[in-house]
Amino acid sequence: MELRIEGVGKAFGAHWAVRDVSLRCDPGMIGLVGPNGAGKTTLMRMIAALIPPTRGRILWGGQDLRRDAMALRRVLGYLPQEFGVYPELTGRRFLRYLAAMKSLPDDLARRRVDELVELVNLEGDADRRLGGYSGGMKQRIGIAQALLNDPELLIVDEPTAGLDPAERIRFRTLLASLTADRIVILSTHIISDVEAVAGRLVILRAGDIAADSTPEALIGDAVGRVWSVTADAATAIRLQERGQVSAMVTDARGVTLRLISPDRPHEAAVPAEPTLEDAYLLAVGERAGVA
Amino acid sequence: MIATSQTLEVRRAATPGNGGDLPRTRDVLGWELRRRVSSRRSWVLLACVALFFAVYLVLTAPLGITPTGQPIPDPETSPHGMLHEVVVVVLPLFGMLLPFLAADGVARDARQRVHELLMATRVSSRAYVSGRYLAVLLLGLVLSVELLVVIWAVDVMLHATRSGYPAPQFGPLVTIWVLTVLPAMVLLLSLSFALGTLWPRLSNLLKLAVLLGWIGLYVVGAEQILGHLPGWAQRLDPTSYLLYAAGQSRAVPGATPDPTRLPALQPWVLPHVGLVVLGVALAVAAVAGFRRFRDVLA
Repeated sequence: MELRIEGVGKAFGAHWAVRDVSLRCDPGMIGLVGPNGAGKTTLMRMIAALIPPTRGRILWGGQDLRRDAMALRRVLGYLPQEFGVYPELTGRRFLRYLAAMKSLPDDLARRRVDELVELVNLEGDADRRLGGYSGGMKQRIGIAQALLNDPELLIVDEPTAGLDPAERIRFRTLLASLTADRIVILSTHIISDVEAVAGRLVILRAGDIAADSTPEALIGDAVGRVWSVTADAATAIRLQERGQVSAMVTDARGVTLRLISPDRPHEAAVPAEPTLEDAYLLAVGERAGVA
Repeated sequence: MIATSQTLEVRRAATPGNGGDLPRTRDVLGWELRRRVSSRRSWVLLACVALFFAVYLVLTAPLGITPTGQPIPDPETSPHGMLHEVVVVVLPLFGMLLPFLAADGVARDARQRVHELLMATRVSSRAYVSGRYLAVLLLGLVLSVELLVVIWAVDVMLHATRSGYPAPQFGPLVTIWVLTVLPAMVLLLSLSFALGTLWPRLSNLLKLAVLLGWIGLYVVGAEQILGHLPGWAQRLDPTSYLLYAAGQSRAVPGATPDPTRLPALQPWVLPHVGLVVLGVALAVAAVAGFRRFRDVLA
């Protein structure tokens, strides 16, 4: 079980959404993060054999996906960022439909769907039409369908979007429990989700890999570059214009900023313990908005 | 964790030879039919089509006598009247419905954003598109059979309630239906389906184009478009209007056609079989050219 991505790029017209990405993935969880437009969704669609790369190649078990995508689809679980459902079908029927498309025999599909419906907490609603489902319930159906064939390669794009905090943690824990014998690629904007479960973090920026490391190593790289300073409003505005701000709190003492900077940004600034979010901002070099 | 309790069984099942062979056309067809049957829209469509055409046929049928008190020369329940009823009254409107039924057979998945989920499964392009095509074809067949039943029922009612309408004969009606409605249905459905499948992003535009083309055949007139071609080519007219016109021209100029007889249908059989074959060929082209929504995903 090995996924290799070799020099992969994808162009849409003159625009390169993914430029030159090379990765080797073994069983475990890989967190894929990056700003909007970094190429995460395009990369995941290429890995899922939904669109072909413009250059480079993707190999599953040594087989080039261009030649044999079916071998990958047999073991693939995929949850896209945005997906629809057939509103006229019930949740259970929709899952059985997709189970049939994943070639699960009828009796096994029935049992598997029952199991997954329970797993995603939809027992009470599985026999209702999908047209009446809330966004969070649809998301849980999406998660269930990705697990139907017990995939060896699980690709999930923003899986916790629309879930309430308890469901988010529940799904995060579920993902973590699945990583022992499969490759899980988790794309998300929620850094705390990645921090909680991913052993490896890949940061994409403008179609290239900006960092490929462990969360701990990334945080280590950020030590000495994260600062905290409390200042008056005018100074806070000046500091915001000059550097990256990862958090800002206003209280009676003034405005407390969390700044990312290679040098001390202000004489009153004191070093702060970096978080993964700080490390991420450092890696993508992005000016953050007010937190 | 519960998710892995069936791991081995599920993974083994997905292996070819263990019941995990690729989904087949009949699997796709079966699930598409289940989906359509579950949809209230399908039932509403069936009901609306039946009601609309029943009312339309009753309203367009002439009253049983002419203003001078003479029996109408070509009543709708006579064989020739049925040809008029099917070809001139029903088929133009039925044909206008078909692009809307078929163009989204595959494209609808992209519009509903289910395409990404489906294309990540093991279903092959061939099974997916051919299954959807057969489902669309079956739906068209159900509608056209429904139309046949409605025409028959209206004709029986006309015979029972209006003077001058002979008892309708089922044999000639079925013959006309098979020769005119079925080929047009297969061709229009297949053309719309193929275009919508090959260019799913443009499916709305394409169904409009097919609709306008169909209307154009009537507005400009099949005679204008095909009239200068050899006889066999004229018989490829999917509107079958030239078949109806052939029945009209059999009569002496100025006289009415014999309502008890149909024009010779034999020469039209092969060209209309050709229309069906052309329709199937278009569907095959759609199967071969389908790119798994890559243009939509890109």
